[in-house]
Amino acid sequence: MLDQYLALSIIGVIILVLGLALLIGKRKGGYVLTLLGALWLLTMVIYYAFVYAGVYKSGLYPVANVIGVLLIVIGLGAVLYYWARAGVLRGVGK
Amino acid sequence: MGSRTMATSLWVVAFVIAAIFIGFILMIGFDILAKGLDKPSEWLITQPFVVLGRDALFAIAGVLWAIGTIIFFMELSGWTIKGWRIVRQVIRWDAIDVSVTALSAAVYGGALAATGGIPIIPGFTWVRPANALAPLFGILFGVPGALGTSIGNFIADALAGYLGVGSIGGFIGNFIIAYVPYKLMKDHSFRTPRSLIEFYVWGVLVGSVWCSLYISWWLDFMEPVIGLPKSFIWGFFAPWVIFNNSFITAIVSPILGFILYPPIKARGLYWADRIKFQQ
Repeated sequence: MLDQYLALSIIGVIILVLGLALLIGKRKGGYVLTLLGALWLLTMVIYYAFVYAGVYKSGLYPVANVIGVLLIVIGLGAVLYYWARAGVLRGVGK
Repeated sequence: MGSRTMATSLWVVAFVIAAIFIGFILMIGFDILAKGLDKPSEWLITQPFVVLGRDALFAIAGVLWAIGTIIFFMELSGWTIKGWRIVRQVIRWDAIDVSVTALSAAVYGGALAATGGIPIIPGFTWVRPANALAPLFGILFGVPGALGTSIGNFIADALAGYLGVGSIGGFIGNFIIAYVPYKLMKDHSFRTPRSLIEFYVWGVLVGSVWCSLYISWWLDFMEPVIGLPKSFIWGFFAPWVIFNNSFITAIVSPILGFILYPPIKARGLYWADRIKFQQ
């Protein structure tokens, strides 16, 4: 039977390739599918990195807590920075 | 009766309903603590599951799973249900919508991981204070926010050591938590009695139950791969997920929603200002 983590990785690759194809073809949904595929694969990278580093066996916390905080800070910071530059924070997103 | 008296009465009704919801959920929490985490079959919240039994639950949850899955793919492919009809919806999926999805994913996934570390069911769930954010992302941002919630939960699964085929159920299950109040509440402002009552019915009760049954059905169906006993899924996991979701959502989400709605709306990020429907 196919390993479930390999199956999840293949699903991520399919979503990413589909998203990139839509993006190259300038079709709607390309951005979001690419984002979904990229974050899906990022999740798989986190999983394999944790397995390789033995984090799941040695104890997840506080490693996972720290990554969680970093995820919030980097994600929120990047989006707010983009919104500030695009004028969304001044209401240009309307 | 004057309109002012009427408005006051409606607020009283809304607060009474909110108090009943919160009181009931706290009662369930105290019941779990009193009986012990190791005796799920005795919990008050488990009794409907005991009465119905695995086969009936599997059948009911199967219907909800099918509906939820169809809705998930329908919404992402640009179709939705409006006024009992299937209509085309125009989500721009431009840089702003995609950034909303990324923001929801990063904040929800990050918050779940940052507050993790209290394992209740090894391998499948944990006490999740960040759950309060899931319905809000749907209510405020619509489908892009709901999709971000799905991705955030998926990332959090990897950070918590729960990633597996079961996470696919969690992916769409978390979309449902955000989607149900987004779609079924008529007033998303958290500023009227109607908005508050609608949130407790759709955001707390229906969303939590649907999400729990969705994921549980998937875990049951994938049992040969995942290996979780069916008695454990329906006798512990399902009721616990309902309690875990509704507990924090009932208490924290309305406060956050009240604070966040005006700035989101003022900046043109509220979903109703960005989505168009075609009949």
